[in-house]
Amino acid sequence: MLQLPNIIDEAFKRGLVVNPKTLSKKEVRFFCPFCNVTVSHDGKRKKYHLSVSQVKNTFRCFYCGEHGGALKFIALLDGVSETEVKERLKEEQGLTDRKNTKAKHPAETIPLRRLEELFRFMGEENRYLEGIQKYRFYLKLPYSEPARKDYLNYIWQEWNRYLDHKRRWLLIGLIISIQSGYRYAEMIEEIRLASQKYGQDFLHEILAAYTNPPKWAEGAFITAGYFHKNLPQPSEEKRMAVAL
Amino acid sequence: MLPNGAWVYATENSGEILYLSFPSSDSNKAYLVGCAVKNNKMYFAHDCPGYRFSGNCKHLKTAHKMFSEKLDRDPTEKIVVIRKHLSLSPEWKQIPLDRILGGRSHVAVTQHHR
Repeated sequence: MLQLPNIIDEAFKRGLVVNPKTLSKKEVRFFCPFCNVTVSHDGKRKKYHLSVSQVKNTFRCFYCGEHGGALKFIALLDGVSETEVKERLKEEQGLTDRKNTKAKHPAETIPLRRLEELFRFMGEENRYLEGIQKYRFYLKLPYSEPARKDYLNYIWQEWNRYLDHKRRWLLIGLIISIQSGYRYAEMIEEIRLASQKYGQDFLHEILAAYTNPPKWAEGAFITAGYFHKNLPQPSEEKRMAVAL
Repeated sequence: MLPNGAWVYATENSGEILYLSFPSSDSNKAYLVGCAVKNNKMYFAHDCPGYRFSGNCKHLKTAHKMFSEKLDRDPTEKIVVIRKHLSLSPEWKQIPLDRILGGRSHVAVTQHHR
């Protein structure tokens, strides 16, 4: 396991100016290298704003608010990312990442709440909890089991179908909001919230689909027409085409 | 020809550019026409198969008529058309059609074109 370095040793290595009175205390004070504020507001007294905890191995500046653990401290001082610091420490301590780690299936990254929605959408209205139990059962199977991969592929396919369904209905809402003459801004806000909820870039996809519809948007204008009396009603042939 | 639902509905933040939305004739999507006045000239931005292949289309004609009314321009003056595919933007604000042309004038526009 990775052992984090002592944050105070690291601070001395980088030549931070310490308040000698605090060396024997739990929290050692330094001049803050991040905001470089070293004097009080009237310029008469020195101010050691950066507090480094010996016990918790963390730091916090009471002036600029910068805070974090040992990794972030080193990363900020050296101007590199935290992952680079981690790798450097691993090399020093003789630790390397395990090889042959299995990559996660994309279906495993779907949040639980969204999975509940998905199972409801898949037609298991009242039995979505059973669906989640089934999902968990398949997750626990070994990676080598082909049934596991098949099931996750199936879930991923259904999830994409569900997202297309969401996109389609948001587009229909947008069309209606535009045709009704107001509520364009409200609908944009709603689409933005949905993008956050599902972790997708719905906003740009749907706005582009209004003038350049992809496959999932087929028939959205005709469906929106049913909800708006001012729109011309589509012919019987078109209705059948949508229904099919 | 339509526009049974032609919606002048959006401007950019500063209100310099006006956009007009038309449903396509097969009701599968919408076409946008943008209009701006600069250096005492009317500029239009639009792209559709009709304009691409024949050089004049119903969207552009209707938009030209409506915007020249709205902006008090001479409808016979020369315009500049830029062929450009437009798509909606979240920063636009919607303007109801009757607020621009007054009353139920969008009905009059449809009747004129029919």
